[in-house]
Amino acid sequence: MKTGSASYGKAIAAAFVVTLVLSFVVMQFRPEAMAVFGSKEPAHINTADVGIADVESGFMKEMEIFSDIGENSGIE
Amino acid sequence: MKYPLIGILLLSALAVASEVDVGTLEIVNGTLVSLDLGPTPYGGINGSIRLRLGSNEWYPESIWLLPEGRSISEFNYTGKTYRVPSNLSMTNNCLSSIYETSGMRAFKTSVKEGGKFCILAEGGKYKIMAEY
Repeated sequence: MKTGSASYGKAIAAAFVVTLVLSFVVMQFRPEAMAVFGSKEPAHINTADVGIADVESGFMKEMEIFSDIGENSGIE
Repeated sequence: MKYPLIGILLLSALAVASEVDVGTLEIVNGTLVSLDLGPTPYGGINGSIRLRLGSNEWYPESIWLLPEGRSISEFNYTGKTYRVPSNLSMTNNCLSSIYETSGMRAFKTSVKEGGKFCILAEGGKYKIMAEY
């Protein structure tokens, strides 16, 4: 027969496992969300400089970007 | 629920609130103040992006707005985001992660289907970086 403390032990163990799994999933897909634990943005894959944006507070601008890799072009 | 502790953990992980500082107000006893709220302290860019290499075209995974002369690796995630309400029907609700270094801020958002994106940032001039 199970006791109350045994049930709580199982619940805590299950919560621990779930937390570990969730942490792993988040690290895979949203590493920046783990910054609270001191991790930094991981090494970068590939980036391309595709232009300049002038952001004005209170305004939303429309922009279509079509860029050749290695060149800044096609910003409308 | 069989394991209430698990439910609490999951719910606390999913709880997300969005807030924005729109100014200060002084209340004086016995007076009624009328207030017109101004624009948000951030602006945004809504659009689409495609990258091309020769005859190949693709959509990047994310877009960064960086202060000029800065690189992505210099910035750390602050744990904060900007976003707009879902009833505006903007791409991904313009959810934008806020990064910071030495008092400067950078902003990042995901690129969705068809290269569509919407990013929010504080006013200023930024370099646009596509990450793929």
